[in-house]
Amino acid sequence: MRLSDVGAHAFANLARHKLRTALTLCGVGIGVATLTVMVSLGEGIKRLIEDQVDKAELVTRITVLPKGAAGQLPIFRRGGRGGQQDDDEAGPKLDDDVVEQLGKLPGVVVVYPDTHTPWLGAELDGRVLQAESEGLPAKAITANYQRALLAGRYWTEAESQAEVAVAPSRVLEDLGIKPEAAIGTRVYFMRIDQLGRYEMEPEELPAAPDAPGAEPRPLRVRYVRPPDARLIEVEIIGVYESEEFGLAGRRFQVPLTFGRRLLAESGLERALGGQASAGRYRALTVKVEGRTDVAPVRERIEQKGFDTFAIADALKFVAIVFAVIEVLLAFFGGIGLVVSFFGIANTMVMAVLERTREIGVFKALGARDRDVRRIFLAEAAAIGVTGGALGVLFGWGVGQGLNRVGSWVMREALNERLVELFYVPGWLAVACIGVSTVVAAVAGLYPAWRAARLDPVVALRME
Amino acid sequence: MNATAAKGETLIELVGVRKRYRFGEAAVNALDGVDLRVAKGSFVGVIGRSGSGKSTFLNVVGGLDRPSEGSVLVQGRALMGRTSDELAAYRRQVIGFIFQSFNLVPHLTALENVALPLALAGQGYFERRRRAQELLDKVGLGARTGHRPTELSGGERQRVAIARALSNDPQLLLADEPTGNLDSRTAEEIMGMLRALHAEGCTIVLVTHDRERAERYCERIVVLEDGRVKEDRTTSAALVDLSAASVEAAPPAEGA
Repeated sequence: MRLSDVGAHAFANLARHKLRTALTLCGVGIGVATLTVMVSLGEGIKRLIEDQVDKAELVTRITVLPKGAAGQLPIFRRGGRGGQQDDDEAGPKLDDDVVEQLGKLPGVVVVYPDTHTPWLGAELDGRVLQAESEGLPAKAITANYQRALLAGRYWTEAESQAEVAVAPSRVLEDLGIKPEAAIGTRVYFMRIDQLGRYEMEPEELPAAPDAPGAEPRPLRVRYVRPPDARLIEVEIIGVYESEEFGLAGRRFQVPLTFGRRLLAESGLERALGGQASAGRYRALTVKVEGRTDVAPVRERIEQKGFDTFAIADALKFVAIVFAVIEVLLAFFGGIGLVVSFFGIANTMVMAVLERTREIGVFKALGARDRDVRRIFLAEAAAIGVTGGALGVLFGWGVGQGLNRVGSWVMREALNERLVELFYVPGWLAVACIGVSTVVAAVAGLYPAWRAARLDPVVALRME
Repeated sequence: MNATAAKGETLIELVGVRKRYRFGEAAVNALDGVDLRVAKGSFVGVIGRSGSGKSTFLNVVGGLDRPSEGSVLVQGRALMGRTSDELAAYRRQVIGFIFQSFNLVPHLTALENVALPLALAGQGYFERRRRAQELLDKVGLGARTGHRPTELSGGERQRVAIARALSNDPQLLLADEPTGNLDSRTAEEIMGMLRALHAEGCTIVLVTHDRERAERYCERIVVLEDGRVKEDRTTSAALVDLSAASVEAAPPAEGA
């Protein structure tokens, strides 16, 4: 018997027993849907993280540190002796020569010193906030950065000395400023310790002492800037979509030269290590062309006596963690499939019993044992395919629904942006249908084997 | 059908065939030493009472059952020792079964039922449907190909079953009480159809308990009793000139 005939026969038989097929499919579908929802949760979270990493181009970035400094800022080192780095480290220093050398390595796009300033005061639209700054050379502004622009533009090579900033969307959102409206406005940076304070005072001075029982006057909030504050005025020329989570949401991007100045003005330079203004850096960022360039470039840099750090290391670990999480999620999701296994086995045992005589007829007409076995296996597999497809659809729908609910909660309760926690990639859909088909076929093995072994003489005698 | 087969040549030969069934301690010999030759092109009626072993005889000849002892030779080659796949191939290529209760697959149409052995043989969709249509035309049901068995009368169902038995061009038709479930007029039609097939050269072994009808249609009668051949003789029907008989000429079934 041709396989196409076996398949057609299987589906025809399922179509004939509509109620029974529907009930069995419900069982399989719910099982597969559970599996889909569970694994899609793991996938969704993983994608969320990977997206963040991709957006920030972390994968193609290598951080270069002086030997022995990896992962530690001087102020966090034991003893807390901030600014003692020069005495502690024996290896070569990170200076402009190194920047130039590393820039010539094959696969390197650009090398620039780390001028990230994690604590700055900023005054914007009459309000103050804590901000960060990061200096970037125009060459480091890749397509990904351009894509993330919500309004305005980035600086060009010609503007490398300009004192302009591209603001993070998150800060503007918090202040209730639309990205377009922010373009051309000024932001004032200052040392974090020069941030002013808010004072509260009654809206108007009382003409006479309060009469007993009178309404208390409402309070007015006023920002008071310290008289000696040194403000650095900057024009906002663009707004980029900042990360939804984490600390980077308050980071203003500025041209590299200006970034150095901000770092120096922040008063934190020595505390953070290095002395950018004097051409000695605490770290360099090396941007390479692609993921595959990371390993060879790192090797070359380490040969020169520096420590390196690449997010790729951390990502490997993240991948392992997520593989474990997904296996666990799949395990719990798979319980539904175990239940549907028994459902299918039951359905198939019933089908064999019910069609015993038909099996006898098939055999009398020359069907081989394996034809009979295939017919029932195909029927079980057909339940698996159909149930799997329905289950994936259903599970996807449930995930979409939960995404909606999740986004609503994030927006209403946490004031965060929309997130998609449940994500069904193509491979997951295919894998779920595949697993469901295999489970179903295995469930059909025993009934099919019994059907194939039936003695035709006995089977034909069945009423 | 092997219309060209020379009459007289042996198609099936049973030598000392025994079939023993065990029921706990007791053993029953359904066939107890049967020796029989069936010549090509012959029309043999095997008659006997219930329990005489005639169904077992048919199952053994049809390769559905294996004898406990003795051998069944088909064109000189033994069925004994064949694997279950080889026996299936034998049923598919050599045998055409006709049953008392028709045994049509209830959810398939007449056409699909007739095409079923061809599907089992791996024939393509259009080819087997064309052949099935041809056979249904031959048994006078060309206009009812889309009907399911439940929509057909008993006589029509048996015609479909005959068409199905013929679909793989069998060398031997085995009919097990084909008229047992039919009224006598329809039974006559079906018997007429078998005789016509015989006239075309088909070898038929008919198992029945209806001695009178067997005497009228079959050219040879084998009487089984307690698993043994008690009587084996030619009938007067053997003398009838069959040259005028044809399947198409068989009277139409009721409701056709």
